[in-house]
Amino acid sequence: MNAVGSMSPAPPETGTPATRPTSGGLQLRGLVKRFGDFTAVDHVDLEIPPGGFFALLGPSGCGKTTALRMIAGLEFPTEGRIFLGGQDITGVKPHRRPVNTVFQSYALFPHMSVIDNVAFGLRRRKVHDARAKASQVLELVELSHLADRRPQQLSGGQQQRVALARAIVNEPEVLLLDEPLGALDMKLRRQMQLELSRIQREVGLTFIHVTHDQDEAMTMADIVAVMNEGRIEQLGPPEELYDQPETVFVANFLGKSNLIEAEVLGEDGPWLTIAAGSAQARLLSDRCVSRQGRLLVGIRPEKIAIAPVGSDDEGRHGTFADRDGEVWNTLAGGVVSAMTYTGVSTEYQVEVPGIGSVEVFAQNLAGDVLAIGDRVSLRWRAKYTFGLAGDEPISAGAEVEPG
Amino acid sequence: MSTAERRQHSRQGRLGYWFVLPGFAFLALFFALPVLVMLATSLFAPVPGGGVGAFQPALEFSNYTEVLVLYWVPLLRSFAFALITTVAALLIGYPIAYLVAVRLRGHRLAQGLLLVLIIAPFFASFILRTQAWKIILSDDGLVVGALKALSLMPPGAHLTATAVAVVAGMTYNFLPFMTLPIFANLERLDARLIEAGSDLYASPWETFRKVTLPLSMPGVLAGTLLTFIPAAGDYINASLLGNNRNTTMIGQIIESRFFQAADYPQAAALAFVLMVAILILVMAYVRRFGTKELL
Repeated sequence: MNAVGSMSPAPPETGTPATRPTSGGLQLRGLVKRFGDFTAVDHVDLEIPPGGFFALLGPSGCGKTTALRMIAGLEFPTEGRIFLGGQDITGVKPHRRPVNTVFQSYALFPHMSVIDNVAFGLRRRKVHDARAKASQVLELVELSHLADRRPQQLSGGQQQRVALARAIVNEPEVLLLDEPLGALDMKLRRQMQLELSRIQREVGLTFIHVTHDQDEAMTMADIVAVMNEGRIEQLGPPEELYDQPETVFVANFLGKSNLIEAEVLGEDGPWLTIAAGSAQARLLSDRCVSRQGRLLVGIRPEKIAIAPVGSDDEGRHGTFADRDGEVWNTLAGGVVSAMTYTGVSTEYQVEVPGIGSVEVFAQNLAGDVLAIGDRVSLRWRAKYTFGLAGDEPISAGAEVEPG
Repeated sequence: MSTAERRQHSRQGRLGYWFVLPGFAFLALFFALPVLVMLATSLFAPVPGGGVGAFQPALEFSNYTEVLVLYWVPLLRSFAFALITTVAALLIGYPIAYLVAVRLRGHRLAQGLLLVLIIAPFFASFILRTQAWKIILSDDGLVVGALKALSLMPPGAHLTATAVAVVAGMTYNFLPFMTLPIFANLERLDARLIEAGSDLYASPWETFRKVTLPLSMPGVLAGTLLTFIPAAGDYINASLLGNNRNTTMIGQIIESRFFQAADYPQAAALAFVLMVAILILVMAYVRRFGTKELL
């Protein structure tokens, strides 16, 4: 899969000031980084527009941190080039790049007070009134009262905010965040997610956030790039990635997906008809990566409605249209094989003959929870179905250990 | 907690003190007591009509003014030599420690090899090593030959029996005491802080000055103390590599006052002056440059 992110039209010509973006736009072109035999980043092309919140999401070892370090100038790419605001910065030393990083370990200077840490970058660039500017940013992250403390006297969350203040005070064209919330506990992480989003909106800098946490990427970023084995699998707004994944990896890594092996039978207007085992189903051909041959057909567990056999659509099989013209896919003859009750919803495993195990998330609206062994039928709006290439390993991205 | 439990608890806490008792006893017997004996001896007066080396207990404070008037030059010279030695050892030792601890981080083999080379001098005797320097610096040796060939030394000049030779010998002999503490300190330096420095617009030199060096100050402090203190009292380098005229150090005077002139009160007074002077200098130094973590 060679997904090329194209968020904005073709890159402007370099060197001509008239066409150069006024700020921020970052481009990676054919970026490769090898460590010996290992290829950490494998031909990544990316265009990140200025002023947005961008997330690089992927499991550990997918190359996201290496990509980030190349943007910061801490690693030199084996191949490819990096442009910032239209200028080639590939060979520019890190201390000359208008880029700052919030390190995963925070990397605060232990021998300096909080305010001196924050003012460090300003002082190196001989900015006038460094201390006053640093104080302002400390106010933004609500740490003014701790300005004279040493970093090791602060809690993890406070250190995290000092690291953030130390980076944004420089008003870099791009702010890099390397798993900045990884060391925080769940509650603090949620709080910092909101705070980071607020600060990004307030300062209007380009944020590039590296994370393995899909919730974090989805809740914070405007655009998410999913990385796997050094490549970008898919890029887009979080809703789009979730709603219409283009690879098995994305379908499994971002939330959960039921993937069923199927064969295309034919095309009918916008619809493709497919066969999976004894069942037939429909999906929109523009939500499918190919229009013939073998496919992996996917549906998200919460899109499936589960009903005990005996209700109105008993016995119906395959595809039907309801009174409003909505097209539904149905799987009949399922048996609940496992269930997990979580209060707000129930997660069911349903064994469907000829199909296999299907996962269903049902909201507990009425409170009548099904039991193991109950016979059920499943149905979902056909328009939510998506189709992926049939030759991909069906569990890619599903068993990845996050981190 | 009941009274009995509390007593049991504090008894366990006090157990550790018993382990330091042997050390205290040893130091009391072989350090504190001799210092007191030395202090007493420094105030002894000659036995009237007695022979050489015959002294009796007294409170002869003039011993101190006498030695200070007679030997203030070698005393000052000792501190000057020790200072130059310390600075030279720092300038040589820091880059070596930095190379091994920071630049070669992860290269275990190269690190181990260089560490062995740093410690290697300890495998040969101190006196033998100093004697070897005499040969290295001799008139027909490699160093003098090379310097003369490059016209960096006038034809008739020598290196042996000069202040340069004494300081060079001391620098060499005390170099591991400088390098090892700095290495131990830099080895623990978080390399990510160096990256953070470069990310925050500091050039490599600025990063070194603002981040690496301040963080390695405890190592520098330990290294300079471990070099300066023995260098100030050194007499082996001075007597083997010096000329006994304008390179004489206070250690040599103490040695000759004691063993040759048998003037025990003067030798003791000088030793005590040296001890107090080093103590005052070190305390001033640590107060100025010391970190809270070290004290």
